[in-house]
Amino acid sequence: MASLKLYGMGYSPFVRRVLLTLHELGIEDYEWEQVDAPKGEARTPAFLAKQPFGKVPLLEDDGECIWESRAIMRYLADKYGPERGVNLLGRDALERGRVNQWIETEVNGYSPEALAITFERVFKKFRNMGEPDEEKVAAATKKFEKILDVYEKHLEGREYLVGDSMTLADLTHLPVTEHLKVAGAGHLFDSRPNLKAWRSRLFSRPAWQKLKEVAPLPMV
Amino acid sequence: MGGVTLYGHPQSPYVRRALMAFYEMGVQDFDFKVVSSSKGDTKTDEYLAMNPFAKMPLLDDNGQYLYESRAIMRYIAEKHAGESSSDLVGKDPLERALVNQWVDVEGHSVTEQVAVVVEENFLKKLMGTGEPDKDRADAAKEKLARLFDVYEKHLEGREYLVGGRFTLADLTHLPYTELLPHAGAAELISSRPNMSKWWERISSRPAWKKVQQLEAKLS
Repeated sequence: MASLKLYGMGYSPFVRRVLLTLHELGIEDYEWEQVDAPKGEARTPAFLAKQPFGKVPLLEDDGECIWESRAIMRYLADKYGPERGVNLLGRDALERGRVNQWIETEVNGYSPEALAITFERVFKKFRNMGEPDEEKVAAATKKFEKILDVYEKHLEGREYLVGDSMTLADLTHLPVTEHLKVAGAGHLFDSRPNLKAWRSRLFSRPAWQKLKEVAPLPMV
Repeated sequence: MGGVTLYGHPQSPYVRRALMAFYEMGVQDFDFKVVSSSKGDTKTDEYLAMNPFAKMPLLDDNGQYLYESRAIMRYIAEKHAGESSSDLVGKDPLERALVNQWVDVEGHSVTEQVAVVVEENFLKKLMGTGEPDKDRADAAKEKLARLFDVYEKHLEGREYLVGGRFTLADLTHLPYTELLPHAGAAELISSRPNMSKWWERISSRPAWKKVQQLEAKLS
C-alpha cells in the first residue's frame, strides 16, 4: 500500500471532500496531519515547499504532491477506484462528461452561494470575525434558491446526479451542504423533496458517518 | 438532431476554451452556433431544455447535452484521444492529477482575479456600467502578482505546466490570460521571463490562432 498523507484542518469543507473520498474508496491507512490554514500553518517554508500556493488540502502519495480538493478526489478515484471495484468517475465517456459537468456546476454555481451563507453564519463566529451580515446571507440565499430549483428538477426520477450510482458529482456537494445545515439554511432542502431525499440518501452512507467520527465539526 | 454542435458566443472566454479543445484535437466535423446571452438566446425554452442554467458554452453531441467549459474540454479531449497524437488529459493517474490540479488553480484562483481587473479596467468603460474602482483593480492585480510568482517559479526549467507538453492545464489558461493586456495588466506576464516564454509558446499555437480568427470571421 502506497503511503498516503493528507494535510489540512478537519472542519474545512475542502479537506472533508478528500476525507470522504478516501472513505468511499475504503482507504483506511492514510496519515492525516492537521494543518490549520487560517492560523498560517500552510504558509511555513516546509509546507510551501510542498504546496507553493499555501493552501489545503494537500495530498502526498509516495512523496508526490497533489493539491486542489477536487483534483485530489479525481486522483484517488482514478488510481485506487479500479483496484477496489469502486467507480466514482462515470462508466463511459458521456457519463464521465456529466460527472465533470456537475463538479463544475458545484464549483461555479452551488458552492459560491452556499459558502457565502456559511461564511457569514458559521465561520465568522467560529473565528471571532464578527456578526453575520444578514443582507449578504439574504442575497446569497436568493441566488442559491434559483440554483437549487434547477437541481430539484434534475433530480426528478433520479437517485443520483449522474447515472444509477453515486459518483464524485454527488460527493463533491456534501461537505458544503453539511455546513448549510449548521448555518440554519437546511430548510432550503426540506421544501424541495428530491433534494431532501438525495441529501438524506448521501448522508446515510457509512463513508459519511465515518467522516463525522474522524472529523467531528467543532462548530456544531 | 444529428452531429455535434457547440453553442456560444465567440467572445466568451468560456466558449473560447471549448473551441480551443475542438481545434487542438483536430475536430473538423462540428457546427458552431452563435448565441448571445444579451439578446436572450440562452433563456429561450429551447435552450433551457438543453442547459437549465442558461449558460454557454453548450455542447450537443447527437442529442446528448453537456455544459460547463471545463467539462466540455475534457470530454472532447478524451473523445478524440485515439485520433490524435495529442494527449491533453494525462497518461497516468498522477499526470492526470497534476493536469487537474492546474486546471483548478486557474479556475478557482486566477480567473476570479483576472475577471476583476478586466471588469474594472476595461469592461466598465466599454459597457458604460459604472466608474472603474481602481482600488479593487489594484487589489486583484496584487493577488495575481502573488499567484504568478508561484507560476514563474514552477515554470523554471519547464516549457509547459505539466508533463513537458501542451495539456489541458495550459489550454485552460488561454481565454482569461488573453484579456490581461486589454485591462492594462500585460506587465504581470511580461515582467516574468518564464511566464512570458510560456505565454508566447501556448498562445502562438495554430489552434489558438484559429479561435481568434473565428471571432474575426463572425464579427
